[in-house]
Amino acid sequence: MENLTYNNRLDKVFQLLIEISRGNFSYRLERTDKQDELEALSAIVNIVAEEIKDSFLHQGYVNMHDSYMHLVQMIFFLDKNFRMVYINQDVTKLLHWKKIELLDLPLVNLLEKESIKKWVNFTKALKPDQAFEKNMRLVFRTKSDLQLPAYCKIVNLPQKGYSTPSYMLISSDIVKNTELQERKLQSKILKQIRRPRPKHLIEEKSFLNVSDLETFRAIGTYLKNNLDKNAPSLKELAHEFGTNEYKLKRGFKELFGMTVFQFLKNERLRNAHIWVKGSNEPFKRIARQNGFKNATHFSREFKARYGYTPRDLRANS
Amino acid sequence: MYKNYYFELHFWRVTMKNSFENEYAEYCIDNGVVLFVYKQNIAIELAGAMEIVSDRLKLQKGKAYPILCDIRGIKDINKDARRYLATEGSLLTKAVAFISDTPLSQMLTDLYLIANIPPIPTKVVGNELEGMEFLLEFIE
Repeated sequence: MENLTYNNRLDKVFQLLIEISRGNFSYRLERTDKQDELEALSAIVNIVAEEIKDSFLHQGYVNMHDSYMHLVQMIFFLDKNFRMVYINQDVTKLLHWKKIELLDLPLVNLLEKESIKKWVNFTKALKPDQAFEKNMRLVFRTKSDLQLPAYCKIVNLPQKGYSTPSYMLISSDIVKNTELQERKLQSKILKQIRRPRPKHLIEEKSFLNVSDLETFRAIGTYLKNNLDKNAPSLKELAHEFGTNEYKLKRGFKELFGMTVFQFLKNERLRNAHIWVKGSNEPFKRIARQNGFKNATHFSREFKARYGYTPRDLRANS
Repeated sequence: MYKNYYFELHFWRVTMKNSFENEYAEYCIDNGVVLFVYKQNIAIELAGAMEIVSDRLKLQKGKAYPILCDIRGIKDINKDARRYLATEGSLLTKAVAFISDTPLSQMLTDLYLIANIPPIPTKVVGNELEGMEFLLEFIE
């Protein structure tokens, strides 16, 4: 949409922010090739919506069974020319079109540019009566021209017993349960954690305050930047950063989901992995530069973490 | 200025062995500095970010360099790609100068610098000349 005016674009930023304030993080702004401040603002608003949406998902990963439910959102029944013959209520709710405005129109009318190409290519390649189930990411346009990316599944329906519809297209999303609203603050902290923690910790109130968090983040950064050096003892590390050993042990684990030494090993191996894959450095040198005693030690730890040896990786890079 | 620089990069590509191009960027090593220019209007996802880092490391052959990185071409970069480039993306770099002179590229560098506290000297510059001046002391 190259003909969008500045005010049109600004208006959409407002609309998206309104959606976010209502708790809808699924919409995105259409991006243009313009180079102005508004384009940068649009990009950061999209990024913020993406981050918020994923931070909920992250917590879902920690505690999926009782916090989230899967919910089918939009359902479209399409005839053999891919026109909409049936849509469910969520379609009208999410895309803001009325049922009457959509029925009998081709589905492609609801898609944004890139998705139109994808959809047209896909539908052209279909052979009639060919059985299939296909997953596809499509970006829908709302009536007010916000974008709604959705993971969709398209299946063809058996002809017998269904006289008009030939295909069904559904999209699903994961939504947050109201019960979790109360744990907002906790999810902020949990977001920093890369691994699920044992359940009893989740119920406890965090004993870390903001300045503690900054300290432990700084320690994490320090460790990442000094992978080649011998690891300091916990006591030294704690004193260096103005905290104590007990707090360091407990707080670091709470923030990163692993102990200081697990974290260090993880970072060393991750760094080494890229060196093995992307360079021709001898393993001995990579081992030394990442704080491993020798190549054998390195190889063993590497295999334990990734399931293949450095040699396997380099041979296949 | 930008056009000249771009031309130069193309020039290097045909005259120098140490150059590389993929779907996202062009890179070459010029006088001890890795020049890294993102192509216009590209959108980066995780697979792309991995390719970008891997190709740069291949070019550098295990050696760390100062990097002059022109990010003005980036239009969009998703969360996974941001995370990847923030960690794996700074490997084998001695110092980085980001060329960014549009609000969008400025926002992306701000986001990177604030969220990551890069372990190496990093500067945002307005053009390649300024960038080279900053990187000069890191050249071996």
